[in-house]
Amino acid sequence: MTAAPDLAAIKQTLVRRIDQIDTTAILKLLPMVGRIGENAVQTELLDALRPRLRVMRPPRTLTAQRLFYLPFEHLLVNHDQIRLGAVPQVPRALLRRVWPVIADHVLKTHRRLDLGNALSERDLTVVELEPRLAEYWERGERLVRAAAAHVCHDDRASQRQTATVVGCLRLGGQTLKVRNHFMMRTFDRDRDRLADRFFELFSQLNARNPDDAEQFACLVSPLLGGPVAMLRLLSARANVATLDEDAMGTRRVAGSVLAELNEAVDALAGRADLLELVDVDSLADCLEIEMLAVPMARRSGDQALIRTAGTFIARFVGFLESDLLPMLEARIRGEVDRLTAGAGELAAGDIAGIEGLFAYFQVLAPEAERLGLGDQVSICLRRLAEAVAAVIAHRLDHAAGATATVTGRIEAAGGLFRLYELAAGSSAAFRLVTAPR
Amino acid sequence: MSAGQGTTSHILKQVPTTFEERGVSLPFTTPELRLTRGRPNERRTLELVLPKFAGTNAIYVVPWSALPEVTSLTLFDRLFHAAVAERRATTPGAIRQIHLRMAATGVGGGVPQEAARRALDDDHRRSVATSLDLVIACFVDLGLATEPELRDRVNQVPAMLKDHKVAQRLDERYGLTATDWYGQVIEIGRVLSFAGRPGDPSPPRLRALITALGRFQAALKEWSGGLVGDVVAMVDFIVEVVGLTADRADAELRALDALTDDRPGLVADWGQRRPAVTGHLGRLSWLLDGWAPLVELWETAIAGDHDRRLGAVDEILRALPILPTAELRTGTAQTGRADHLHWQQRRYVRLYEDWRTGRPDAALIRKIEQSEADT
Repeated sequence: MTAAPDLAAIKQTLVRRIDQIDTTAILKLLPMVGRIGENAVQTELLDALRPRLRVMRPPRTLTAQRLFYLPFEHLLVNHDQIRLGAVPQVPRALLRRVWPVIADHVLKTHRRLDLGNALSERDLTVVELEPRLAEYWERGERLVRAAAAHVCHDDRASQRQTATVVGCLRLGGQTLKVRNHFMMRTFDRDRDRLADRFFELFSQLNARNPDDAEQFACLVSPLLGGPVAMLRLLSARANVATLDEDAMGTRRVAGSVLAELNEAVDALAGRADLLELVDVDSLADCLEIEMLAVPMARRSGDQALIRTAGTFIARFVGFLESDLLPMLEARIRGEVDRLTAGAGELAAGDIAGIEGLFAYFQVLAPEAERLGLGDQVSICLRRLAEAVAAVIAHRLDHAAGATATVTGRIEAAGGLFRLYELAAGSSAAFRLVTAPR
Repeated sequence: MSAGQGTTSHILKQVPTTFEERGVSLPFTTPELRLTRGRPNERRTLELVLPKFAGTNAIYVVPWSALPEVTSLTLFDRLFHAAVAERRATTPGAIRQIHLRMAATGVGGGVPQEAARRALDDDHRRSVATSLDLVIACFVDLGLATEPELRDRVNQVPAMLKDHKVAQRLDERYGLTATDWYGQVIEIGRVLSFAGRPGDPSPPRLRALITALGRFQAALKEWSGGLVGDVVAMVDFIVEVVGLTADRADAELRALDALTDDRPGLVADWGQRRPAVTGHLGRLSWLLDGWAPLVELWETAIAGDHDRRLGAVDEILRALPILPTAELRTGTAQTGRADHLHWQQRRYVRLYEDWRTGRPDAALIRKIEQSEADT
């Protein structure tokens, strides 16, 4: 008789040593985890294995649950990865709440469609199973609607996430086709094929139901690189689209993406915790969207799209001018003042914190002129440079060691010179370091 | 500055002969200068080797003094550039010291400042601990006390050196006064602290980097297992170079361990063994020079998506520290393997290059031109 494996011990080992475990050991472990059945223990073990699975991408056993999740697998995120913005996301926690409610019904469908036996047939792929899966997902769509009403909170985020799952199930076949191309891509040319496949499916859906086409574009946008890449694709497509309806559909999706972004900007404006909500990458994304949207809207001549793009730009620039810039300056000034007050050694953490705030300027400054914010950004940076220069002078006056030499000055206030560089540029900072006092 | 001619064509067509010709890896923070190397030229002045500078496939070689005119530098790089020129630093150890001391001031940013301070503290702590280990090993050898006794009153060890009897025993065994003996132990401790000892639970940088290379190689193999196409050959090439470097570094380390295992003997024979010990350490630091940022690059890429990993492979390939031919000739057993690698390096085609000619992909260029025309 063999002893039952100690699952708690296995999980602990996995969490602690996931980076060191041999690939073959993980490949052996995976079917064992699959055999545990769809329960909390399996979920915990898979969570522990996920960092390696993301890299290895081994073939996974297709179960009823996995088949069900297949259309929106690329949208699954852990709770701490949820971000504000136009990218649709499905938190794993939501599915964990919904799945037990619908599992019984789904499994009945699974048996009726004989998916288990079909999957055990050799060389049969998910794509070949698609006709049967379509019915499976169709039933799933209705069940998720019903289950969500019981277990989900009535907030806007949950409603949106449920709508994402429902949409993915309704458009499961199309989503899966794009996903298959996504999984196979290796080089740039494969990305082109992926985009071609997307537009082919998009055109078919658009001819049948423009709403579906619009939702489809949003659901597969992460596979195509997110909203920015999607807008880039749409922009290129809008230029070459030969069929009127195709071009109109493309503009419609672009309008929809922009409208979603408008909402995101509205939701952010005026929030006290703004800088925690808008990370620097999101700001860079918004700037690129703005840059793509203007020429695309103008070239299309589509009045609705021009209006939506105009609204987005106006709101985005207003948000930068009235919310983000004043808040950034105030936060940096506050931190710099704190450095003036302190007499001891500069803490690396403090400097790093202020640098993090300057990163917004590094993204924004090159675009400021184009957005009509050149003056505001320059004034802001000049005031901050003056404030930092004053702290440097104060520090050097009170430094313990010799500050007549470059080395002495760097040692006395190196971190502050770095902040001065971020505000005034590296040439000005170099002059300040090397100038005799 | 030269590109495609003179020195550049020499580099493109041949692998470096010596570590010095390959150049020392330079930790610049300006993005265009990432993974750059520096080396002394024929006139023993410094020059920079810039691979794929300005997005081209040519390797640019520029005089050290011309760097600020070539590109806009960050404040840290301006100061680092001046400090390297002032000290004429051309070895990995010297470059590392300049870099750490400058980064520790915070002039390169808060995060590098913390890392540099930790690294300098770690170096100092290891140096002291290694010296202390040497003192204890020698005292045990002289029969002055047992190791547990000495470890229990480790703070009293320096005071013991003032003891007349101890000084006499040191003079008899090592032929040195207590002060000179202690000075020699401190020097040996500082030298050996960079390599550590086998089985060290917290190995120093160089020993840890060999282990990291093993992990890097395994991770690349694991990832490429699921790939098809040209990229597999590129990853295989990197894996081969990593393997060869790790093997050579491991051999150097084993030779060093064998030479320094008998600690009292090492202290007694330091004058004789010094050139061999520093030679092994020097080769070890040259072998591993430039690998840490590549390992780091891959570890960051592995957390990202497929495209990011492909980009990392391309970047790693262009900065791959190929072993110099002269260095490989010293290990005859592996010469065949190295020759094969060098042949491979000349033959592989990089991402976005035409397979037959190695020239940039014309279709891709047309696409970029089209995109430029559209905007």
